[in-house]
Amino acid sequence: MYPHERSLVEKYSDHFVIIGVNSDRGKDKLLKAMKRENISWTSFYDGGGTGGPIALQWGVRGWPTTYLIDTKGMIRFKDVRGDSLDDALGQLLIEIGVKPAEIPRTAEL
Amino acid sequence: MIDLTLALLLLCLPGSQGASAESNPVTPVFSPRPISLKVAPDRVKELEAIHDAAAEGGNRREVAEQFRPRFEALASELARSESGLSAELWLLRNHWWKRSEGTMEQISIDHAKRLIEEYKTSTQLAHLAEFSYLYGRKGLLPLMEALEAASPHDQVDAAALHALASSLRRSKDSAEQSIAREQLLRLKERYGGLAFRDTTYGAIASAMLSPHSKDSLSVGQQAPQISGADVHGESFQLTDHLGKIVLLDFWGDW
Repeated sequence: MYPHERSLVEKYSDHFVIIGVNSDRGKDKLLKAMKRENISWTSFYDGGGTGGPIALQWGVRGWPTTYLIDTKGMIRFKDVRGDSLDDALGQLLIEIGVKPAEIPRTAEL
Repeated sequence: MIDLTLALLLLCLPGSQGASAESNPVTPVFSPRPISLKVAPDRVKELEAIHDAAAEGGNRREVAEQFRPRFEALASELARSESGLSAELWLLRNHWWKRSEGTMEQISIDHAKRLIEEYKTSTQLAHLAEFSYLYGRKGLLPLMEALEAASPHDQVDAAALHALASSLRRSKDSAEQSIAREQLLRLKERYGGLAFRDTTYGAIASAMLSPHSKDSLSVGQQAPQISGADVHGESFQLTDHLGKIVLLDFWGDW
């Protein structure tokens, strides 16, 4: 999953960021996973379990859960990944006048 | 005078002198081995790491099944120590292999009840409340009462309150929801400063009491603020990213 997301961040660095909220038990576990997956974006260690403060505030009960938030801070899509993430992101980019470039689909990676 | 008494005492200590030395060779006083200052490795943590690596990408149930005897051996060998409890808690979290012997909830409750008898310190008992999801809704209250009866310590009371509120706030019954609310307010007021995992009960209770917490947020709603330090300690505000599209990814490496 992450190579594709990374390519999106690189492609649209001016307009798109990823924020990770991790619910693993143990910060070392998170740091190890970040290294392995080559995750360089801002990541939160959410209290060391699935009942962490951020997940609770957002009411997240299933993992993974993703939210795509537009430039005005409104939640626009939920649980988009792979091709559906490409489409959703493309739509939000068009809204702010950015033409989505041709990016490889998840299946081709 | 004191020295003499000490010397006499030492002479009387079993194994220090006399006949036993002949049958059991005496260990040299000055050990030729270098003294290691390293803390003894936690064998349960080591085994958990080996298990996690083996389970990655494999059949978790099968892998856990293979590791179960090793955790059981450690649990009995290290009984009543923190490490022993870690091994027991691994077994508690991996009970589905026993499903044929009864409902999972009942097996978990019976296991937790045994641990309440065996593990007496407050931090040890508080651990048991963390796995509230294992005990089922009906089984939780009597178990938490047993836990609180076993120790009057704040840490235990806070853990039990947290477990009960976590379960009740998901109820569809509005009376139970308001009980959960009262419990959370009590948790925040009394034990807000107490540590829970890597955060505090205060932070947890506040998040649970916030208006967004009951159901997951849906499309069309304004994203709640996230503010605090990230994993590297950098301060962060979600609103700093207004003007950019944000993918918020809740994930875990399990």
